[in-house]
This record gives sequence, structure tokens and C-alpha cells, in this order.
Amino acid sequence: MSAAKPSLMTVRGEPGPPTLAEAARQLGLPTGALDAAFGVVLVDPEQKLYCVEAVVDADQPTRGEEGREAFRGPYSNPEIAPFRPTEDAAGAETADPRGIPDPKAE
Amino acid sequence: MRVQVLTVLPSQEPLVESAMASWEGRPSTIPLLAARTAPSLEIDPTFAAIAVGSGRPAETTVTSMAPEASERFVVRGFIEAEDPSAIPAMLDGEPVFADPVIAPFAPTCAGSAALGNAAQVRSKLSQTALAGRGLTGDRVAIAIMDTGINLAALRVALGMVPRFDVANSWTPPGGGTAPFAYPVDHGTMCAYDALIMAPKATLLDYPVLAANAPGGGIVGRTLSVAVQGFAKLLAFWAVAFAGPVYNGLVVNNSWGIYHPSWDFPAGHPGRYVDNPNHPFMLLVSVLARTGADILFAAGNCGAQCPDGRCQTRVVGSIMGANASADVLTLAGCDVRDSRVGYSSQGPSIAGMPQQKPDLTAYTHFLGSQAFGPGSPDTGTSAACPVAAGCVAAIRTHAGLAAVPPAHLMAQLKATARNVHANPGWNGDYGHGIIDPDAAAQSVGV
Repeated sequence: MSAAKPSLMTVRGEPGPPTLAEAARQLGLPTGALDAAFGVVLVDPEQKLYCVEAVVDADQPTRGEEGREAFRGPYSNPEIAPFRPTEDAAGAETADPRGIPDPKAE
Repeated sequence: MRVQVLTVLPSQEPLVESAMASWEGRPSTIPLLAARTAPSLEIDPTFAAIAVGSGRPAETTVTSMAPEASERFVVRGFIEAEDPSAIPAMLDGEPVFADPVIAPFAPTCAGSAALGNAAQVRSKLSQTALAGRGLTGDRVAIAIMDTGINLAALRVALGMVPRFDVANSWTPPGGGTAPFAYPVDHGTMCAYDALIMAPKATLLDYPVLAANAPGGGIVGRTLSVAVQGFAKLLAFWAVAFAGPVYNGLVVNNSWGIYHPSWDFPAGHPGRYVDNPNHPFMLLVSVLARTGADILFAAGNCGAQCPDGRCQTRVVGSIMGANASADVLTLAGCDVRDSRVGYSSQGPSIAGMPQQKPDLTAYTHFLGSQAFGPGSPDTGTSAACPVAAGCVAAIRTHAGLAAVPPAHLMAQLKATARNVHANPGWNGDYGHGIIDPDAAAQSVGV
């Protein structure tokens, strides 16, 4: 884990999703710290809770405005992997061994 | 060839002495080779004679099996024969028995050959009985949250064109590959395995593990991509449910993280593996509350042969959403009903519901051959979609109003087939091997 990797943060939005700039303002971050490609993603409609991705220091917890709200991040964004067992630690992925064309390569 | 056999000889002094010496833990004073035998039998002097009384089970008592009283003795020896079929059934009027090599039942591990095939899995899970009641997955969507699906390869492997829904599938932002056109990989295997039990289900392609994931393309497969995929699925499901296009949505997740070192340190409030408040956990919970049946693989950190990425950590290895109370967590067994050695065992990591896995389903069989001719579909990765297909089959007629996901999960656990020595939940199989026919009947379909 590195503090420089993107992490997840939560923000509120009412009545609709906040803009990226509004999300950054809620988190006290510059807008450029948020990943525009990830955007603002609805996590829990009942709580009006959204998620953004940002490069922040994992050791610096962020709370809601004026510190009244619960922890907002950074939340871990770990690597994930398929649960196909491998005999080696590397877990190397296998290219199509049957010669079926890779559509991306065409 | 020289064949090792067991045979029975009548009482004689070398045999009595051999048995008594063995019983008393001392060397025999008379060579076993001094015993009278048929000329074709060469006695094995390293194997002490065993008193068996009269040799007839109905007449044998403890007293008659004392060496001094025993009428007969078993000895081990060798005979020459062209092949095993040429071994005589009797020697000097006494029976000859095989003495086969025995070995511990080796656990199925990553490199083990395929055991059984998809047809056997279908048979063991009573797919014909389910299909006979119309439980085929018709009008049920199965979302494969994985590396993406290759429809062409899937069609070849299945021998038919499966039902698929491009419009309600997902292309990650910035992704250049259309749904169902991904390279043949893990996702194609999962899609194949999901259709074993639900051949009329409709596949949705959610490539959350695709290598060209959004978010900068540097970290590749990270949880944030799954967050995006689940959010999209939630939005789709809300619309489709109102449609209604589908009677049910089954969400297959054959992925996870292998070691807590992939995560924030223990105690960090933003950690994933043991934190029900992590945004992804919240999203999973919301999706479950909207009526989706969500399944996660338990993982491949079982004690007998853990994946190298587990870093030998085999306790508390079911982590994150894979251990969520809102999902059905799948362990894996082979077609002999033996837990595969790599299947992660419960209890799950501290801080999450402890009784995981919930159920066991079949894996390590010859199925999609997505990784090459003869390659088995392996891992709890394969067990999970097999179970997802079972759920989809039941969902064909089990409506969400009558049978909400939590109720169906409870019935699947209650009707699971126990193959463990002790009743109830255990860390190897959970509540047992999934029994979709029994579960379906328990919910009235």
C-alpha cells in the first residue's frame, strides 16, 4: 500500500449528485485531486451518499464539514484478483491458448 | 510380473511364533520363511503373520484369534503372473487376495487434473429435475462481474448461443472493448459455469476485472472499478425491475483480495477487509436490499494448498465483501464431494460475520476449457457461478416478493446437503453442499 495511490472518499448529495467541484469542496480538497474519469458514483440512495476517487494521504482522515460528520475517507482501494488458483505466487494470467482472436488486437 | 498378494495359511509353528512375536514386540525366534506354502508363493518375511481364527467371520471370536488358538493366519507374499488377471484365486485350497497400494486421499489442488465434467455437476445438482419444473433461469439475469466474456468462445464451449443482454451490460468508462467481446479468460469460464444449472438465464457482462479498467489505467484491477460496476448494476436493476424485464438478478463475484497486506493497515478506519462501512460494502448491501441475489467466492487460501498470493495465511482468509452478511459465500468441492484443498475455510476475518463460507458448490471439473483443452474450471471461482446458476434456476419461479434474497439464502443453507462429520455449520463446507432441488421445493417451486 502506498499513500500516493488513489483512495475512495464519500460525499453527500441532495437532491442529486454533487458536482466534482462540490465534492472536492466537501472534502476540503482541490478539484484536481479527484479523478474525473471515476466521477461521482452513487453508493447509497437512502443516505444520499456518493463516492469519489482521490489521491490523498492515507494517514490523514477526512471528516465532514466542520468535523461533525462521520469518517469520509480515505477508504482503501485495494487490488482485486480472480479466485482462480495458480501454482505460483505470481498468479500470472493466461492468454487465450486456443487461438480465438483477441478482439482488442484486431 | 511379481505381484504382491495376501493369502491364508493353516496354523503351523513359524506362523504362530511370528504372530506372537509381533504381538509382544520382539523378534521372531523362527524364520517366517520356514512356513510351508504353495511353491508359487514367496512369503514376505517383513510382514508378520496375522492370526484370523477360523478365517470364517461368523465363527471368529476374540479367543479364536489368539495366535496359539488360531486355525489360520494371513501372510503377505509374492507370486509371478503374466498380468493381474492371471493371479490364481486359490493357492492350496486357500484364497488369494489383492494387496493394492493405498494412499491418503490427496486433496484436489491447483495442479490437479480435472475431476468429472459439467454433465456430472449437472447430474449431482439434479438439473433435470429442476428443468422438469421449468426452473431453467428463463427471465433471470446473471451478472458476471469479472474479466469480461467472450461470446464466441462461450458459444463453442456450450454448443449453443447463450442468452445475453448487451444493452444492460457495462463498458467501463474509457474501455474500448464491447460487452461479450473480451479475450477468453476467467470471465468466460464463470459465464459457462453459471449456465450449467440455468441454461436459459441471460448473461450480463460487467468486466470489473478487465485489465484496461478506468481510473487511470495504472493500478488496473482495483476495488474502485468494482464500485463503478456495482453502481451501474444498481441503476440498471432499478430500471429493469420497474420494467419488468427480468424476474431476478443474480450477481456472481469470483474475485476478492488474497491477503490483508493488499489493504490499509489493521485499525485504519478506511480499511476494506473487515469494515462493513466501506463504500463498496454499503453498495453491496444496497444492491441486496433491492432484491439482487449476490454471490461471492470464498477464496483460494485453504489450508491444504493455498494460492501463493495468500502468503501462507490460511486463517480468517474470507475477507471484505466475500464475508458480508448480504451475500452468499461459496466454498468449493470436487465431484467426489471432497472439499478442494485450496478452498478458503471459515471462520472469516474478525470484524465480519464469522460463519462463512455459507455453502459449497462443485469446482475443478472439465467445463469451459477456457484455459486450454483439458484444463479444468477451478477455484472457488468456478464453484461460485455453479451456485449462481442454481440460484438463477430457482428464481425462475420464485418471485422477489414471496422469496426475498435473505429468505432464499436461509433456505439454501437449511436444505444444503451435509457431508461433514458434525451437523450444522463448519468452516470447510459451511452448511453443506448446495442442493438446489431441495431449496426450490422448500420455497414452493
